[in-house]
Parts: sequence; C-alpha cells; structure tokens
Amino acid sequence: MACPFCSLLCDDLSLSVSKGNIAVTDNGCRQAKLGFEREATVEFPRINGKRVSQTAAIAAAAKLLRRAQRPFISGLGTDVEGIREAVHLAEKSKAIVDHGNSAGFDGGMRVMQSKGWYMTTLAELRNRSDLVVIVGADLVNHYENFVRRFLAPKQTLHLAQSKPRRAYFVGDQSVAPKSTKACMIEGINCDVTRVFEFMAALRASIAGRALKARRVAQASMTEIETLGRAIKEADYPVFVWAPAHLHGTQADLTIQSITRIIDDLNKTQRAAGLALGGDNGGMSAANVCAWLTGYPLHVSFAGKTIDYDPVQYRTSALLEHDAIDTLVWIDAIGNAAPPATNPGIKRIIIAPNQAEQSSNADVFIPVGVPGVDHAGAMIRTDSVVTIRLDQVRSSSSPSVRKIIHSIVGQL
Amino acid sequence: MLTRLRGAKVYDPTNGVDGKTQDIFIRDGRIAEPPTNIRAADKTIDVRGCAAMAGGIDIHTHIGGGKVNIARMLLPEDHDRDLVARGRHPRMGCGHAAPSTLTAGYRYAEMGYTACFEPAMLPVNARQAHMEMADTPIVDKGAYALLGNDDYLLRMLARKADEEQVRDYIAWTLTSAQALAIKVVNPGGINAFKFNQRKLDLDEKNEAYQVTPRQILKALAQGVQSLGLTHPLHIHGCNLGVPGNMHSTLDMIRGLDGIAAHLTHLQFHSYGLEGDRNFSSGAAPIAEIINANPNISVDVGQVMFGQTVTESGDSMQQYAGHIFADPKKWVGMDIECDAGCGVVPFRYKDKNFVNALQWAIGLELFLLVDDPWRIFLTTDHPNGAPFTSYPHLIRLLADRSFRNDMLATINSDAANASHLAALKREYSLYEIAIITRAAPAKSLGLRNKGHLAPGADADIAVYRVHPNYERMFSNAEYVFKGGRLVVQKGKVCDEPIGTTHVARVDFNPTIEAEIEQYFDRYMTMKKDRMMVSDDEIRDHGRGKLKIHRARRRA
Repeated sequence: MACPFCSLLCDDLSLSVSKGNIAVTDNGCRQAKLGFEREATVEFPRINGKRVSQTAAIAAAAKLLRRAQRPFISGLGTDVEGIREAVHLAEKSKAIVDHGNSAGFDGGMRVMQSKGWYMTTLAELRNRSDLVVIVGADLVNHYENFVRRFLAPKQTLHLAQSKPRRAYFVGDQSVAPKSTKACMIEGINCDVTRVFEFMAALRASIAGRALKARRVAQASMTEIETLGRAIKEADYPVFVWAPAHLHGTQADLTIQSITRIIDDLNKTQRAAGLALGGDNGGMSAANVCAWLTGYPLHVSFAGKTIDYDPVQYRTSALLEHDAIDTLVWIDAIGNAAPPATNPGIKRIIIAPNQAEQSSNADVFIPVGVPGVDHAGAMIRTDSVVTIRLDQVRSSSSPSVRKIIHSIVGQL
Repeated sequence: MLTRLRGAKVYDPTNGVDGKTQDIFIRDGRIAEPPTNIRAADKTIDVRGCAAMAGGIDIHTHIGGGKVNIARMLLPEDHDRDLVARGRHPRMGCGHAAPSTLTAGYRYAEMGYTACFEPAMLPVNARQAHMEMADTPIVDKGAYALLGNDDYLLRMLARKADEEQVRDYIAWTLTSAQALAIKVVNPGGINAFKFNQRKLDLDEKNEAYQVTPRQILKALAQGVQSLGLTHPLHIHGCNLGVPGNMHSTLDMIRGLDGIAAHLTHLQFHSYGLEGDRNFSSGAAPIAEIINANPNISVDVGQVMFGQTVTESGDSMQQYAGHIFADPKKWVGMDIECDAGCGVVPFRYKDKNFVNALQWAIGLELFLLVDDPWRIFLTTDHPNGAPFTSYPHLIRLLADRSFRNDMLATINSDAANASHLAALKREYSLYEIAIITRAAPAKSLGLRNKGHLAPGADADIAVYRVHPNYERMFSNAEYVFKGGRLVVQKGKVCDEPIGTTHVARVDFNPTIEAEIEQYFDRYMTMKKDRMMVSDDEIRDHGRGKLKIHRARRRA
C-alpha cells in the first residue's frame, strides 16, 4: 500500500484493517504509524460547534466566503484533486492561496528561481549514486525509510554488489543515520547554523584552493578535504538536503552553496542534488498551483490578475500580520491542529475526524484522508513521480475535492 | 439539433475542397450531410466571406508534464509580463513561454486549434502529464511516451533481446503511460550523460551498455512499425543544435532503410559547418533527402525572435547549451532511470548571426520540402517560440514580400548566408490547412479529425479572411469543438472537456511479469502504481478517453 504521510510516498507498506482501524504491519515508519493508526472516529459537520448537515455547513462556508474581504486558503494538506479544487476556490472567492507549511520548502524554490540547479530523483540515487552526501537532513526522525529503500537496497542497477555504498552525514551527529551492511555512513559534525560556511570550504577544497582555517563550522579542514576527495573520486555523488531541516534564515544560502558545488562538479564529472520536503501535500500543492496559475503557491486572486509574492503571501506572514479576515484551513493528512488566529477572523476548517479541530471553527466540515478513506494521487519529493493512492478502509467521509467542489458551486 | 454554417469558403484538403463556397452542417457533435431542405436547420450562422477549416492540430507542443512545470516554476518574471485579466477567459492564468494549463487551452482555441499533442511524456511522469493535460481545457490531447534512454530498454538491447520482446515492451509502455505514440530523444545520449559522456554520435557506443544510437533508433522504429501504430517513431535525433549535425540527420535517414519515421523539430538538426563562423544552413540537402524518402515526415520547430524557454528531455544537449541561458539560470535533471530533462530560458535575437540563421533555416525547410502532407507547422513550443506565434509564422510562409521585409531586418551576414530571398514559394490557404490540420490528423491516425466530411468530429475553425494572415489566424471568428461553439469573435465562450487520445496494442503478458520483477528489484515504486488506468483518465466523467486500437503487422 502507498503512504501519504510524508513526501517519500513509499508504496511498499503492509497494512491490516479491522473495524475501520488500521495497523501498519510492515515497512512502516513513525509518520506512517501516526497517520494510518489514528483512531477512526465519527465526526459531524458543525457551525459554531453545533452539529449540522453537510449541506448546511457547505452553505455556511460559501456564505462566509462571499462576505469575506480578505480570504485566505491554506493548509492544503490534501491530494492533487483537493488542491485543484482549492485553487479554484481561491479564484472564485478572490482569495490568497498557500500551503500551510510552505516555509518548509520555499528556500529551495527561491534558489531554483534565481540560479537554477541540477537535480536527480530517488531511483537515480538508488541505482547510480556511489557517494551520497546528506546535508543536515534529519532522516532518522522524518524520512526513516530513506536509508532502507534508497541508500541500502538489496540490489542496484549500476553499483558494484561487492562493496557497500558510501554516504556522509554532515550536521548534528545526534540525528545521524546508522550504517548498514549495504551502506557505510560516516559522520562529519558541523554547526547547523553554519552549514553554508562548511559548504564554502568544501567548494574551495574541491576546486583545489587552500584555506588557512583549520576548522570551519566545527569541522576540521582534514575532514572537509577528505570529503572533497571522496566527492571528486565518485562517479555520481548526490547531495541530499531538506530545506525545512536547514537552519532558518540561512536555508537559502546553504542550498545555494550546495548547488554551486554541484555546478562546479558537472563541468568535468557528474553530480546532482536531491531535496527532501513538501510533506503533507506540499510538493503536490506547489506543482498543481504551478500548472493552474503559472506560480508555485503564494498566489493572490484578489486583483484583476494573479499576483505572485513569495514573501507577502506566505502562510506564516499572513497569519502573523493579521492580513486576512477569513481562513479556510484544509488539512486531511497532517496531525497538527490548525493554526491559531486573532479574534474576529472567521475560520472554516476542513479536516478529518478530529474533535479538537472543530473547536474554534465557525464552520467545520469533516473529510476523509486520501490514501486511507478514498483513492487519490500525490506528487513525490523529487517532483517527478506521482503516486496513486488507494482507499484502504470503507468510509463515508467525503474527499476534500468533493467538499470544496460543492462550495465552489455556491460562489 | 442541426446547425448550419452558411456560405463559408471551405479549405478541406483531405476531401480536396479548396476554397469552394459551401454550407457546413453540424448535428450531434459531428459534421452532418446537407439536408434535402436547407430550412431543416434549427440554427443558421452566417459565415459568408469567412474561411472554414477543420480545427487546428498541433502535433508537437510541450503542454504538460514535469519539464513544463519546472519551466513554469523557474520563470515567474516571464508570466508577470503576460497575465490574463479576470473575465478575459473563464479562468485566470498566465501566458507566453510557459503558460498555465488553462490559458494554454483557451489560447489554442482562440487561434482555432482543437487538438494538441505533448511529445515527450516520460513513462514515470505520465500521471502528472495527464493531470496537466486534464487541466488544459477545450482541446483534445494526447502524448508520446519517451523510450530509448530508459535502463530497461538499454538492458534489453545490450543482451540482444528478441525483437518480439522489444515490441511487447513498447506495447506495454503505450498502455502503462496512456500514450498515443512513441518518441525517442537523443537515443542513448541522455543515459550516457548520466555516465558523464558529453556527446554521442550515431555510431558511438553508450559506454555503460555498449549500444549505439543507431541500434536504438532501428529497434524502436522497427518495433513501432511492426506494432501497426499509425504515427511512426517520433525522433529527436542525436546532436541537437550542434553545428554540422546535418550529417547525423542525413545518415540517420539513410540508415532507416525505408522504415517509417517522423523527424521532429528538424530545424534544430539541419546545421552545416560552412562559412567563416562554421555554422551554415543544411536545409537544402536535408529537404532533398526528405523529398526523396516518402517514409519520412517532419515538423520544423521554427525559431522566432524574442524571449522563450527551451524544455527538453535532452539533458546532454541542454547541459551543453546552458551557457547561453537568458536569463542566466537553468534546471537540469537525471530522471528515475527513465530519462532526463533540461530547462534553459533563451532569447532568440534577430541581430545574432546564429539565431537569425536558425530562423532562416526553418523557413527554408518549410519552403524546400515539396510535399505539405509530410511537413507540419510547429515551433516546438516553447523551444523555438511560444505557440502563440503561429499566426506570424503562417504569414511568413504565405506572403513572400512580408518574408523578405523580415529577412531585411535580421543579421545581415545570416541573411546573406541564406537562400531564403531566392525562394519564391508562398503557401496557399489550402496548403496552410494541410500543414496545420489535415496532415497532422492523418499522421496521428485521427480519422475523424483534420477534415470536414460528414461523419467527422465537428471541430471547426472559421476565420474572417484578411490579406494579413497573421491577423486572420490570431483570432478565429467562430470555433466549434465537437459541435459546441467554444469561441466567438476571438473570445472563449464555453469550455468543454477535450478527449485524451491513446493507442493500444496487445502484448504478451510475460513482459509484464518481467517488468514487475525489474520494478521490485530496482525501482522506487511498484509497477502497478506507475501504470495510469483508463479510469484515471476518465476521472468519473471529467475526462474522456478515445482508444485507437492498432493491429500488429505480419
């Protein structure tokens, strides 16, 4: 079965279902268990906490949106179909639309839009990369299956069976993944707030420029030079990072410092990058919004034409600056509660059967989880593969697509 | 309901109609026989003085899938210059080089186009390509699946697998990816670039597999032909954009030994090495060999001046070309043991010798290839130019004095190096109708499209005749899609859902078991999860699927 609970979208899980409750029996991870094993409860649409029919809740949501002056549609924790409808809803209601966790993968987008980059995908890494440099990405807590599925598979197309794959983990060693028989992972401790300095030193070392410093970002120059040599000797080194795991304001800088090394290497040998992120529908949202509007999220339909502004129209900024009067929060996948908003902001919450999500909502409409309660499709972290999701248990919960489509129909 | 289009000058080359004034009748989405009593029509639209043709068909336009979406994400500044205001179309969006799906559909319809085909769908990315095409309104669509750089096929060729197995693999790929045809891009070269080979000539071996582009081309072209697919192998050959590549192109055509093939964006493969700058037009010898080889069809990939973005599966040549990126940024990718891609923004400049000569080479090809049924109008959108430049291109082909005026404005060395000024040919409206609808329909096996005989789909474009063809073809007066009026006075008035066209041919199920094992062993998803189902295309009635069944040739 395929799992919608992170952007790796693993499709080799085994599940058992009993009375609507699901257990992950094989190939799961922490996120998969949290998601699939959430207790199935029965929830009802509510207006101001009072139980109403779905029709009434949809009509109330439409009414709020008709009256709204500055509506904002976010969360977007849903599948491709849900996101398609959410973008349509944004256009109809002259709203701003963004993903709830856009800050977690924005950094990459800005680097891409300013300089571009050379990237790869999971199967290329799995079958071809003889050296993987993991830069700060917390695989252990967030992408647990990455090691088993991509770094240490039983067989590959192009790597020698006789020796283990080599990998380096650069960053805080307390979250370093462990070596396996098929993949030897070495750690280089690095101050997570100064990874871009480490990368600058690595770039200089690869280019053969000597640095006077003996330590950079807590790492010794010897370690950096050893890594540089290994990269130069490798056939297909791949750098793996997760924008959300890089230190706050320096994420852009760090990603750019990595992509520059890749650009340098590609002049004479081969190398590529792989970004992990866009969980909870984020990668799907960026792609769907790009094909429907031209822009990867951060889009406003308030004016005569579409307006793209990745600084202004970002969930965190809009909520913080009180720039909206109505929030439509869609999250059929994540486990987190909707964000707090200032008093007076109308809240339309579209989420699965979770009681705490209905509190504080002017309108709450329960929906099913894609890949659990209904079929769907989501786009993977490498932005290439779209995984088809199955319905795992019988369910009467509607999809986000269906609910939003109904609201759109009333605007 | 019977609708009558009264008194159109009809250009319907499939049925030999060349500008004859006649009525067109529409019933139930199709062209109907004229009734015995003309008053039987429930509705009459007066189109006297207008030219009517079947809806346009773009046989090669990058409208959906990964690299197209990368281009969109990469170029917000390009969208900002061409935003569609609320109310102009049923939905908002943006246009130009990397338009949103919605705007692309509307703008094609406004130009009188009713079908568009995405030529480079990676099988692993097929679902996304179809989802993007599903959000491209009005037009019918379809896609060609990319083979020839995937490790699976190269392994097959390396172990000298049976031809029958290659055919089964091609047939399975068509089904799995929901494709209408098969495309190859830089055969073996994208794969070789992953192993750091920087060029791959026709007889040069991919080092990892010891297989040459010529072997790959032959295996695929022969396979496609034996499977009985109407559209032959769609080939983007070796050495795209490389000066002197006309020799690979000539050599490849000779090597096909009469096997049917379609050479796409031929302009980019027709460069010689003559002159002070070692860059010259190879159009004359290329056109000559095409004229002599009826197994070959081509589309041009005309270059137009201005900003665009090049999107290609050819990571090897896009890497080589990225140094010319304008603005200075680009994205390259190695993709999933399947293929690759490169997205490089580019500005073709009329005062630049190479760009100006590229422009002239494209036009020379249009004018030197004799048979309009074997050459199709494309700019390889957006690689040579955005599709919205088609009306301008039509004027260049049909109006020699306009063409010569334009020629006088380009880089003078390029103008002098080209024979364009001496070419007197002017395309007639009849020939325009061939290269923009009748011939592409025939090449793709769309029997009910590209013409206006009773029984054909009522996809009709009606243009107000104007001596300036650029103006005439920019905005159709009326466009009907499946009998529904979708454009009136150049403005979209309805947006029905187009049909997705796919080809299907049986395959031996043992290939499926082998592919499944390969996926389990090496890939990052299960085989079944990659396959796009008919239901996904139909999507509970939101999409429509037309399956064109092929029969294997003995």
